[in-house]
Formats: sequence, C-alpha cells, structure tokens
Amino acid sequence: MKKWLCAVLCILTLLACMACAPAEEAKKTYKFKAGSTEIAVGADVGPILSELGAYTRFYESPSCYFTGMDKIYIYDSFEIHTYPDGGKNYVYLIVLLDDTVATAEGVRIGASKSDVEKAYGEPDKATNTSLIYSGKGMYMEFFLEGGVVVEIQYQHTKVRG
Amino acid sequence: MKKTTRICITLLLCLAIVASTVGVLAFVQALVMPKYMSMLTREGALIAEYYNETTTHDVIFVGDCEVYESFTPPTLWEEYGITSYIRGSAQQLTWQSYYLLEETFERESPKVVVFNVLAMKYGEPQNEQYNRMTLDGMKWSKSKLAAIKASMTEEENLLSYVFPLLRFHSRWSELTGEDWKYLFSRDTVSHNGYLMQTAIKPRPEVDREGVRLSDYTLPERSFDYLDKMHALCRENGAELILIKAPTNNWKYWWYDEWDEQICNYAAENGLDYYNFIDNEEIGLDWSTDTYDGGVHLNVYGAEKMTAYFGKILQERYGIKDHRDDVALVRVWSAKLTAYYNEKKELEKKQ
Repeated sequence: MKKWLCAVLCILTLLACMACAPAEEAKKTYKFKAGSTEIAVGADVGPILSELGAYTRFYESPSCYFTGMDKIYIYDSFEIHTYPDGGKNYVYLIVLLDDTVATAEGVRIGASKSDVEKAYGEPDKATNTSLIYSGKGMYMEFFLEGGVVVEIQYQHTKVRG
Repeated sequence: MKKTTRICITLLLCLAIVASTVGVLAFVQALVMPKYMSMLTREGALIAEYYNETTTHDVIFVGDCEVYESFTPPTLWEEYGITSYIRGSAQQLTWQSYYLLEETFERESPKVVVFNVLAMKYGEPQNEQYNRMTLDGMKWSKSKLAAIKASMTEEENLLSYVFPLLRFHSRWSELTGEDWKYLFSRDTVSHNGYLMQTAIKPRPEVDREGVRLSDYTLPERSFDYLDKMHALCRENGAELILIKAPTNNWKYWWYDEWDEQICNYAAENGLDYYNFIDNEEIGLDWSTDTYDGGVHLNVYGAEKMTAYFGKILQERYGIKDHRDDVALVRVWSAKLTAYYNEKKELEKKQ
C-alpha cells in the first residue's frame, strides 16, 4: 500500500513540475521592429541589413565560437550583433539605445519598472538592476537604474559575446 | 597435428587478428584526428608541443589566447636570459589552466607561474571545439582525465576523448592533404608556446566597450580553481602572478567590476596582480602592434610587452639570467634562430 502511495505521489510531483516549467516550444519569441523591419534573435542578418539601409558605425572582431567575425552594426537608436555560421551571419544580440524606439510591447528607455511589468507580466528573473523575460531560444533583458529602464537587450540564450 | 599445436596456432591467429584490428583502428584514428597545422587552426597544436621540450623553465604562463599572443619566450631569453614556456590554448578555461599546471609540476619546477585572468569570466564548460584544442593535445595522465571531466559540455562524453575516433569518424569524408601529410609527425607551430603573428591591423580610433551585463560577479567555480592553482604553486614553491594582458576589445571586454574582484582576491591572498590595460610604460602603439584591430597583439606588440614584463620578472621576482649556461645557450640559440626565421618568412608574406 505504502509503495503504491509513494508511486502515485512521485507521478503527481512530476506532473506538477512539468506543468510549472513552460516548455521551450510554448515560449514566446520577442522580436524588435525598426520601422517596418522585423529583427529577431537567430535571424539571418543579410535581408535585415538590406531593408534597414546604411548603418552609422560598424565593428568586427574574431568570433570565439565560429570561424569568421562577430560584427556589430550600429544604427541611430539600436545596434545589432551578429555571429557567423556556415557563410552567413546571424543575430545574437539586439540593443535598444534610446527612447526613439520601443519594443513591440510598447516599452522604451525611460519607462518605469512597473511599465515593464504591466507590458510583460512577472519577470522570470529580477534583480535591482534588471528584469529578464525568457523567450524561445532567447530572452529579453531590461536594465534599470533607479527603477527606470536605461537599456533593453534581446539576447540569444546560447550565443553570447 | 597435435592438439596443443592446433591450440597455439588458433591463439596466434586470434592475436594477429586482434593486433591488426587495433593497428587499423589506430591508423584510422590518427588519420581522422584534426592536425591543426593550417594558419587558421594552428592554435590547436600548441598544447602538445610542450612535450618536445628538452630543458626546464623558470617561468610558466597559463591561460587563453592573451598569453600565447602577448608574450614571446625567445624575447625573454634574448633580453633577460629567462627560460619560459607558455602553456596557453584557445579559450583555455580556469580549470584547464589548473590541470595543465598540475601536469607541468609533475615534469618540472618553475619559480614563477603567470596566469592571465580573462578566463575567470567563464564558470562553466563553453564549447567542444575549444575543449578539444586544449585537451586532445595533453598526454594521458590523471590531470588530463580530471581536466576532461571538468571541461565536458553536456553534449560530450569521456569515451570520445579516450577514443577520439568515436568523435572524429565523420571527418572521413572531409580528409585533406594536410591529414595525410601530418599523419605521423607535425610541424612545430609555436616558439615555446608563442604563436607568431606579423600582420598589422590597427585598433579603430573610435573603439567601443563591451555590452552591459546583468551580473558582473565572476563565477565561484573560477575562484575555486584559482584557489587550487594558488595552493598548487605554494606546495611546489612557485610564485603565482596574476595578470591581465593589455588587450581590451569589445568582444573580450575586461570590466572594471571584474578587475575589482581580482584586485580584492589578490590582496586577500597575498598575490601580485598586474593589469596591463592602458599601461603606457609598455610603449604599445595600437596602430602598429596588433594584427586584428586590437583583439590580440602582433609580434611587435608582444616583444614590447615581453620586454616590459621581463624586467618585472627579473627585478621583483629575481628570476635568474641563464645566459652563462652553455647547454642552455645552445638550446635557446636554436630557438632564437627559428623565431627570427619565421618572423622573416611571415613578414615576406605580408
């Protein structure tokens, strides 16, 4: 009898754990829209660059994980960081730099912590200086200073500068 | 035929079959293993070259690319008579530095160990490709086994390090002339662990810093291995010196918050820590002394860095000038010749 009870309890605990942890597939993919150009972490940057037009500054550095160069394309209000793989370059980080651009959910630099929570809900991880929201293969991070958003990043979960 | 003779013949036949199978597998394994002989991948050959050394060293460097691109042992010898070796490798993690050092102390007794702290930022295994570049080159020992266990990513397994054929069999279809050429022997790619670069690509005049991080705390695991490295040096009567190479690129940015943690660690543990970033006394010129826009030093920058650090090693740590030792002079003269020959060859190709 005890054994059966233990087994049932174990199965219930397991099911409860599975229900608590959202499957990676079910997670949202947060994307940034610059004008009419949609930019997603993990996307091939080629077509994105063609749509965005000229960038203001550009940096490159030897890639740690892949043969080739990591690159940063800097535009007026945001920057796109890419890594090379198989002859193409893919986005691993998008950084919003000023309040002339906003996330698809309407949050921009200068917003308050509660504005972010109103738009995105409870963060998956929070400290005094940042709020993190997990997405599918990526996460969004809002950097705070004095409770105000000072920088917004869309980051790849595996590739990091 | 007698029964015992038949048994002997059967046994011999079995042995011959087993021996030839092992031989064929060993041959195929040697063939498919990456050779790391091309200019783009040669850092993968660094770790194995150490075992060719015939003399010991007073100074051992451990760490990532910032050690094998910032210091040149031939310059340390030429200017100060200091014997040294760089046991560096691409993205060498703190626990790999520890186990390489442990293995080094089994073979020799350096007076000083120099550890570059950039790798302290990594608290967990990073990438199989870089693991391989460090671990496959190590000779089998308890240190190698421990290094593998500490370094494996989730996708890796110990067996593939014991039998690399299991990992690299798929290279069968990608074999090149290099795999045949270097099947049984390899060229020497380094100068006591220093990987020479003569190209010049200036650092951008308007450079940028690293991206903002949510947490600047250096991982506990890195400090655990730094503790172990310190203890190992103490047990072996060697001085551990912490350094940060002078390079500071946005991709491999050294944050002030990290520097503060290393300064505190050094102070608490009675260690010396030299951060060479922005140290003007070295005399680096970022328009000529880097080959990749400021990420690494080229040979001209590394020679300046080495000349500066050699003086510190000699004056503050009393590292001996061995230029009166005839046997060592003979060995190092050959090394210097190889060093200047490669420098000349590479400069011709620029």
